[in-house]
Amino acid sequence: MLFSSLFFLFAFLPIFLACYFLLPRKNTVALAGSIIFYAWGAPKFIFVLLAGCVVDQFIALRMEKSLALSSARKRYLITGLIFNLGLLLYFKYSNFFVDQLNAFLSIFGSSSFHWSRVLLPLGISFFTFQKISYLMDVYHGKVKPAESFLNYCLFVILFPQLIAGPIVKYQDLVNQFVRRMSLDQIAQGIQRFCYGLSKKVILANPCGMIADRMFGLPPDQLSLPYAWLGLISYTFQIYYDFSGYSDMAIGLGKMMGFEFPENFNRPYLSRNITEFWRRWHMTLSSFMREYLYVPLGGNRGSRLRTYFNLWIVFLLSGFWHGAEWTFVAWGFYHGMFLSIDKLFWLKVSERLPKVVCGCITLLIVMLGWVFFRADSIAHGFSYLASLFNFTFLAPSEESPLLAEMVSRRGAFTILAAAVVTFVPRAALKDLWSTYCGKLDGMFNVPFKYAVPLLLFALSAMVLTNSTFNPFIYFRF
Amino acid sequence: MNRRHPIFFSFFLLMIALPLIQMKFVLIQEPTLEGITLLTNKIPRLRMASWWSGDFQKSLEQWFEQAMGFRGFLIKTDNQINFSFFKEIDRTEGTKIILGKDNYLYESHYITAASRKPAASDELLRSRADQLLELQSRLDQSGIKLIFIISPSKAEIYPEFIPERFLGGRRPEQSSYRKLLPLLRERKVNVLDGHEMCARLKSTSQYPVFTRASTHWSMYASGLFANDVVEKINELNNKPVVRLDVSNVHVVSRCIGVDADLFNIINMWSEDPLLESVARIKPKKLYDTRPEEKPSILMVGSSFCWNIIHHLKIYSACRDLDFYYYYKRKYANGTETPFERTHQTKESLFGGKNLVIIETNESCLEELGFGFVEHALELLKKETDIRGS
Repeated sequence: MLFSSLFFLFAFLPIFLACYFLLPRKNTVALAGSIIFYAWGAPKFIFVLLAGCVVDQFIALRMEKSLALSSARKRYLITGLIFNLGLLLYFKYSNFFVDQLNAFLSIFGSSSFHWSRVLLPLGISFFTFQKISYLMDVYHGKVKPAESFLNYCLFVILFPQLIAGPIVKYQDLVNQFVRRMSLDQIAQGIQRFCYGLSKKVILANPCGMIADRMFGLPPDQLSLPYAWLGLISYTFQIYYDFSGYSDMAIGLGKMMGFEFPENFNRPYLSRNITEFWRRWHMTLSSFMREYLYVPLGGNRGSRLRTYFNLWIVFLLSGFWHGAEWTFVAWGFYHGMFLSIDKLFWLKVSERLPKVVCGCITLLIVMLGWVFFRADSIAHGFSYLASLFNFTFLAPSEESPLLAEMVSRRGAFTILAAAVVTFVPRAALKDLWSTYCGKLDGMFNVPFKYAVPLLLFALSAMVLTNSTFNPFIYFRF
Repeated sequence: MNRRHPIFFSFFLLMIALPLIQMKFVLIQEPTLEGITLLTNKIPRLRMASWWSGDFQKSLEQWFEQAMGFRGFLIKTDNQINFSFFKEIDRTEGTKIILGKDNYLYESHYITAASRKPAASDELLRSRADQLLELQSRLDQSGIKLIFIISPSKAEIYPEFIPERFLGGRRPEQSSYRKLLPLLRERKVNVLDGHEMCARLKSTSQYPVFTRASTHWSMYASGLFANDVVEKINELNNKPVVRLDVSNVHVVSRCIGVDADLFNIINMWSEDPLLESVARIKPKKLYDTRPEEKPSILMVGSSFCWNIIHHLKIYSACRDLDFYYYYKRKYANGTETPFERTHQTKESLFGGKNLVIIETNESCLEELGFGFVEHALELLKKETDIRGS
């Protein structure tokens, strides 16, 4: 069940919110709703998830009883890490490793290793990291184990952030299990949810369709303009898809009285890759920094060691995104540019105009997205080649026409996405106060309340229409 | 607390709850949505096996998407936005429609076929022509006549309304139609050329050959063409079966049914720019025979056949008619009956028939007969082999 599905928006959500606001014991209702939400998409894995919570809480309580920094405490932590990472490795990466093994065996003419493919449970990458952060924080004494098993389960399974983040730390939530809800917070949540939904449905999805078409073209039909159009579309798609989903998660959390950490902060306005990673998927960066980069030594060692640590973190970040070499390549690529930042670029970029740095950074990020999107390493390199193939400027006879690839609505969406992405908020605020300042009181209300609802309605229209694809007559 | 927040909160809750309320209480009558879709409207039954496998959840979500309250309103409004603001009919699946100049609607694959699709190879077209000739001869030996119909494409008859951005580089003389027609004529296959008739009618008649809102030839044009079919039947029969005067028409103020089939599946609110007035043939019988003297027809073709079948029935031009739609579905006198291609014999296919009409649109002549010609030849050759042995 996705947040942007009609079933979630108009069946699950109204019933859940009605129960949540009308019934007492809101945490119990939230947990029940979250279990139903997850079991809907993963009816078998919910039991593994709940069993995992039992194991985690047992380990946390045993660690709490052990002396700080004792070997027993460490053993419990290692057990917990092995358990959680083991589940992640098995469910997410076993197919990948078996495929690599079979590819290796085929070089020597050996028969393939027989393997029944494992299904990937929803959200496993996200909640595994949350569980690891909990165990690590308990180990280091930053936080006490959850007072009740219900609280811990709620932390892990709370549905707004379960499937796609933000990655929440237990200490972010521990003081919110007892909370006073306010209509101001709920209203903010609704606004945030509506903006997030419209980012996903109105901006990301149409850009995604264009990107899919362009990335799906064979090299002899992929002219330079098409390749760039596809990459630009994908750049917007991935940002608005992910940030839109985060907004919806944060909005739903607020509606339930929870405050989740922010995950995106206009990352395409970054002046360098270091800044990009402070603005893009901020909770992942925070997790990686706190639980991997710092334990590896961070930047406390030699320069070489620092670069090594950065690359390890980013290789693993890439691999975390997906069990494919393309994601590893993407992680490698970003690790390289972060190292370059540390080598000299941060100092250089301070002396250059912001716009120039911003354009260079955006270009670097966009070229990295090629591997994130490509089906294989070979496809990624082939696509990169198309981006710089100045001998292939006009579509060939075999290429589909631009009008077949991009509708007018799609073109308008790309332009709208560009405006929303790149026009600075300060400039928009200045424009508003210059031209509408006197009407501020009159327009403030519609802007704050009517616009989110209108965007919600537009999103609902687009989603509903996407489910209706009639034919004139039967087709075969 | 901001005093507006309770109102805002209530509005939001109402918005997300309204579809469920509408499903339960039907506050407003839902507009009908036109067009054929592939999903089911049945609520799935919850069973443990289907729950564990995830099939129940998927089916329930699909059912909900089809049954959701205010669905028709939302769809029509989004389509209206596409039409009014973006001047297009935006669709990724289903029948893809292009909005042309002067609000002419086209199915996109006809435009692609007319402007970008290269002609089928000479070898393939010669082979098709030879197959048709062989079929005509073998059927003739069994006392069955054959007529091959080429139906027209709107993109070929009305290219002037296609927006330039959808046009490719194919020249008209490169089309399969222009290459195949001489091959059929030199082999003396009984051909009725719908493209030629419509092109001629476009310049001589005040009524549209294709309406703005349809992908198929208009009832007017197909009515006149059906009369050509009747005359061909009379010629092949060596005596008239029925003779008609089709010069009279009555004008309908706004097109409906087949004359608006593309418009209907757009499903938007406004109609005026697209639904023009159209003519319908008012046939007058000049001569008629008894039903048993009329042909029993086997027709194979595409959706362009429906208009012809409609008119052949009004003209009482046949005793009965079996229609094989794309040679995949069978309609016996208008009712769908079970059909399995591999179970057909010569008797089940041709038994009692004395006329076979094969129709293919000019945009896909390489698929001529949709497999019927090859299958029919196979059945006829098998019978000859059995007789020979």
